[in-house]
Amino acid sequence: MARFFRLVKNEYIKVFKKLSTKIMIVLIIICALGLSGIALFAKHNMESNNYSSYDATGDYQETIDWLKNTNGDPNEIAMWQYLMDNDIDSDDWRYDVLSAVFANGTGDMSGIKKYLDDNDWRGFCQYRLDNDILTEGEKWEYQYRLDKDISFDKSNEKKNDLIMTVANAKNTIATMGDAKSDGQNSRAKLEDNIKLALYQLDNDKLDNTANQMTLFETDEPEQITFWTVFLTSTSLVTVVALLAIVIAGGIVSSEFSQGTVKFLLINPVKRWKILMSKYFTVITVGYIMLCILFVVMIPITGLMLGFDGFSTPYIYVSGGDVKEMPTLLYAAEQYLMKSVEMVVMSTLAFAISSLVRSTALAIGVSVFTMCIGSTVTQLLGQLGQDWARFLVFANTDLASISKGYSIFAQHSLTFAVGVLIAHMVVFLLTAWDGFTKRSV
Amino acid sequence: MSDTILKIRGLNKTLGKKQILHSIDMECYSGEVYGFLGPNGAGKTTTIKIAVGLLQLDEGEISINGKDIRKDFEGAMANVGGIVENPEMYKYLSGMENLRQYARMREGVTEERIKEVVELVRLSNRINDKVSKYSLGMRQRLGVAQAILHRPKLLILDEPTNGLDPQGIKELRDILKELAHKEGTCVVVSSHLMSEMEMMCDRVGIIANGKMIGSYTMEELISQSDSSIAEYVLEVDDPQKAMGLIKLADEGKRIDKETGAVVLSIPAEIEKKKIASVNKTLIEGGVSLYTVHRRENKKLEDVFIELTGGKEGGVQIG
Repeated sequence: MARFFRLVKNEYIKVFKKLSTKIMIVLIIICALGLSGIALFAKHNMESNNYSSYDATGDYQETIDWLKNTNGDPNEIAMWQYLMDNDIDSDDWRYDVLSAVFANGTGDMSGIKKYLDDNDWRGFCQYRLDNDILTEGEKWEYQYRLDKDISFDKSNEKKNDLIMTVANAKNTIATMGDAKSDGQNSRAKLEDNIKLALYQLDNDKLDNTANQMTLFETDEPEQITFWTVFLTSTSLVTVVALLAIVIAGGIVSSEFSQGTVKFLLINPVKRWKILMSKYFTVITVGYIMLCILFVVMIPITGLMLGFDGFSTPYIYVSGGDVKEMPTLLYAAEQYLMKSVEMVVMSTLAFAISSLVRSTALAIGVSVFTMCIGSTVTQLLGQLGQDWARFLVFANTDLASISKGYSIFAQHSLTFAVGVLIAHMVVFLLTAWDGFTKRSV
Repeated sequence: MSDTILKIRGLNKTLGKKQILHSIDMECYSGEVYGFLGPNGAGKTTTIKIAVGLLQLDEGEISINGKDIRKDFEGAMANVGGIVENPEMYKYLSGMENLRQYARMREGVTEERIKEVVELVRLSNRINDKVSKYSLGMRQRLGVAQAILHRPKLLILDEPTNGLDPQGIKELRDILKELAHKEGTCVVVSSHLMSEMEMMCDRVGIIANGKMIGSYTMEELISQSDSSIAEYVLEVDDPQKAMGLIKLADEGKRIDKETGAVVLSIPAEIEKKKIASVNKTLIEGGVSLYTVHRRENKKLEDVFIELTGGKEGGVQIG
């Protein structure tokens, strides 16, 4: 084993003394800087484009006029009139509840008017519970607000959002009846959502990075935070994969093209051991670069966007239980999931590298395969070609497959891992066979 | 008798459809410099590559220091150092870093040993420069340093004098002789130049067209070249007339086609008497004799060409 690590040390020296490797590490840091920089730029851009608040009252008048002209519901007209008369804008809790009452209930506001006039949300909730026909979600919501003394006020925005999540999920489940799914969401998934939101409400852990948007989904400056950028940085793993392919594609073939292979193989070391030390180097250097990306992302993102929300945990439901972990750990998990593609593709590049003299060919074929692979697999999947599930690219996105998002039916994680291992074994056997018998 | 270090028996190798090696047999001993001699394309490099495990053999047996290279590759190769073809090293590493690479792949090479070897090949002042800045001669010397790092019992050098200047060749020769004669290393050097072998080898094995012609000590070859026939070149005004006048058997006289001179082959024991009488005959016969020149004995180079030469299969000695 000590001998093996001496071989690995040799390979490490060769890899890290090469100028190209140093350039790659600089590239990774540039990518990290670039992503955070773009996020910062987008944030500033959104801030300067903020819309000035508009005159809500004018809007109400327009709505009322339109309703009158089209013989609209008099209750609805009365509601808008009430909002306008009392100068209640859309930030006020009464705006929200009135809209909800009108949408779900009878629309008759005579009973609740008193509570609205007094700005009394408790009275409002109690009256609704006692007198109105409510949905499952509303029944739960009013009771919960009264029990926990949570007002509708905007200062409770995060709690309100969680309460809405639960109420909506309860409503959806109620409409499902005995069905397991309404076509969009499964009952189990909705029940998990309820559990999660209740856990957050009950434990006062209102922030959860599980709902974190990626940078591409944000449209408001306050949505762009540390974790937005950090969790988006998992896309940069693809860049690291490309760099790993460059190393893998050259590690064997360059010995041949530069003629150094003769001095390498004239040593008292069996060829397969040399090959394994090179493969070990490729994979570990790939992960070292991944670590570099992960580690430099922390200070860079922090410096650009601040560390606000850094301690926010990642809360999720697994097997019916709510679990919590530091988001940094969750991010590391995401990096690892994404690294599967890196391992598979650099193994392919390594295999080609062991067979040919041309480094460019090994890198070219692998990068080309990586670029078109997933597109072709998606296309085949959409065309109903079920055999495509045996292709590498149908199986590299383990994160999605484990969550059940796959274009192929009944696509299990076990199947995916099996297909990946089978491919790797073929790649490595090819490399082994080619290298140990190769004439020098 | 010294130990047999390299032993090759019945080695056959076919590359593509062409059989490169035909049943090669060879034995090299500790403490000798063995010259492996043959024209370009004779199979020298192929034989060497198989011996050091760069190529696989089709048939036959090779053992190094008693260890079969197929059954115990690592054991056999632990006693081998060598340079095959050009001395290509990692150009982006320094000479020292290159040597450390090879040291890690072998057992028992200390940092002191590396320094010692660097001294031996006289690279001390440039050893920390990148190899990309080395001349071919320096790379060749670095190659030698790499090959002897682990004090191998067998040192194989494929055309080591390529690219070396006369001074470099002399230095290399001294190094190799010292290794063989003082440290008891078995040194195998391939070349296509007899003149080089002459200066450094104790024994020579000759290969041509993939067949081993034989192994000879330098003494055997020199006695072969030391012919009992003396050759005289006579420059005359009328070669045809001269040929008629000279009383010698037909195979003893000929006209050189290039120079037009008359060439005589005379047994050594009667050469002086005979050449005096030829001289007299020509002058009396009215042929103008401009010069008479005695050729040096046949050179080793000629023996080599004769052995491997144009004639298919070469000529057997003895």
